[in-house]
Amino acid sequence: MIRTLHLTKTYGDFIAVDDLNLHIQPGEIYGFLGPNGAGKTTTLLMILGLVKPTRGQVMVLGQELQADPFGLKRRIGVVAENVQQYDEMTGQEYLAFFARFYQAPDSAARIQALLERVQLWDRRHVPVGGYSRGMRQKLSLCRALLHDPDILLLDEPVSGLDPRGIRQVRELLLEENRRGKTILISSHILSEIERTAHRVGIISRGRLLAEDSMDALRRRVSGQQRVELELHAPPAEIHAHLGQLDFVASVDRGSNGALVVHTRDAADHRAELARFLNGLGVLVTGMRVLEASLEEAFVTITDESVHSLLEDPS
Amino acid sequence: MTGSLATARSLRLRPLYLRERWHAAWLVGQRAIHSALLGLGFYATVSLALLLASLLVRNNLEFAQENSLVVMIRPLYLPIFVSTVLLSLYLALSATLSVTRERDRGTLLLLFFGPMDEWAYLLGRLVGQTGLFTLAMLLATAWALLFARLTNLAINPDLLLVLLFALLANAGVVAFGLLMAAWGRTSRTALVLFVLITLLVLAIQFGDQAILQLAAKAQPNRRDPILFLRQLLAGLNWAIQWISPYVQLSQAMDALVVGNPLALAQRGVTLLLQAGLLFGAAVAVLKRSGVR
Repeated sequence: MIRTLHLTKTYGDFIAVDDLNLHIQPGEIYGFLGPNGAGKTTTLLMILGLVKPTRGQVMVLGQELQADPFGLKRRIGVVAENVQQYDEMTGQEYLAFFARFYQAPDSAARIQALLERVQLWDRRHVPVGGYSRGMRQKLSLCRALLHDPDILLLDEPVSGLDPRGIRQVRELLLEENRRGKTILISSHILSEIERTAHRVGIISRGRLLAEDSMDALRRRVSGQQRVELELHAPPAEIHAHLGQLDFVASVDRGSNGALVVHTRDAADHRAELARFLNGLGVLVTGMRVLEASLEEAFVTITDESVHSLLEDPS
Repeated sequence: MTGSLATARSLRLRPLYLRERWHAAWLVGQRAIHSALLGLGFYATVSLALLLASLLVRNNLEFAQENSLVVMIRPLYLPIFVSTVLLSLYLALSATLSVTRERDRGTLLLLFFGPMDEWAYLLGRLVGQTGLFTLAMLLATAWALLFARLTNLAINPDLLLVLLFALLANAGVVAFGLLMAAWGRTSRTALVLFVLITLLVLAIQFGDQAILQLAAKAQPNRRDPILFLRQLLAGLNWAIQWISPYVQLSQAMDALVVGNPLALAQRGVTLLLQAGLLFGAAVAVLKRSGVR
């Protein structure tokens, strides 16, 4: 759906994007993560043809944007971070203007449906200048969806939204994805990406450090597994007992009072643990594998990248 | 050989997207007209232009009354010329500021996320300002008809040709404003460039006249720096007549007065070329400087 081949952008000596190869499959939600200044926005602008790459190629819907810029752009919806709107227009006028711009069919009904979906219908006659940041963000999303595009490029789509707004936007995006839209979300709100994205790409200093499914990324950062145990009246020496097991690296107490067993590898040892505790006569009331969060994966991968750069400045 | 073949192929295959570009340009133009009609600036400038034109006609009439007989060919040409200068400068400046403001606040980027390119956007701005100028010229025509009725001044049908030439001159001046917007990037820089270049052109034109008088009084010899300055300004002034739409408009009016259709056609072609070249330059500069 979207493919970048050796995409590179330099400004003088500064490399903003370095040999980036992305492949976003049709119908997937792709989380594009990276610290500030990592090159995410430059990449999005190159995909849209608004920044000319120094090297490399971008393919959208199987063709280069230059092949049919007007036709292809009509099939893309964009929400950009910190982009202002026409403050003097009302919310409804704003969307009507863009509906005409994109030649969206059945625009009046579409505008009403979208504004109702994000609970802005009651504020449709208010000038956009009077909207809060969150309302503007939701209006931007409505604009991006107006013409029912095949691809959504979203740069920080939930920034400035309250938890309720975040939920509305998330549900809307998941719904659009179920309808077949391919979505590229660039964000630093990792929990949101974690909840919506099928695959994630992590970029730092213009380089793609990792690109994989959420599960694969978690496995990559944790060479071990963490199992949380809830036990009924465990003996005082339970830590020592568990420490005797070959596959247990350490045992500590979790924040909720449960025990957390760190294994030496990523294999599933829950059955062995249950048998062992049963043998000790300890009643297990709960057991679950604690997954590494995307935040942990992100921090680990970007730290690895920084360390490798420090070790090898070339 | 292969390279030139590839270039030829890419040139041959690249469509012009006329329908798409016109659709986008028309929307931008409509929005520009809508915004201007909701503001005060346009009405204030039109009122000022018509007031100035009325004062000029009144001045001529008083002069005729004092001298019993004055032969004036096309007495409405000068007022129309002055109104055109005032209106087109206002429209060019407002085009400059609209484009730079749109870039400053990021809404330009918003348009370029969609089916829009530099040609379509700047064409839309040109269309909008041309629409506003046409509206102002319709008012000016109504004013001319009213004045002719009140004062018994003759209205010649070739006034319509003057208005057409004024429209072309306005397109050139607005294209110059768009070029300044693309070049200057920020509102402040574009405004400074616009004012500086306009003042420079005026200074050369007036300076040429002033130095002529000074040089005549000083009776300069061949080594006199005044002579050098005079030649320099005369050269620059000659160049300006091909660059400035106002000079071409003025010469077109002269051609109408003396009934020289060839000179009139030349002025028309030159005005079209000026507008086209300035517009093309604006597109090229905007492409280079980007919309962010």
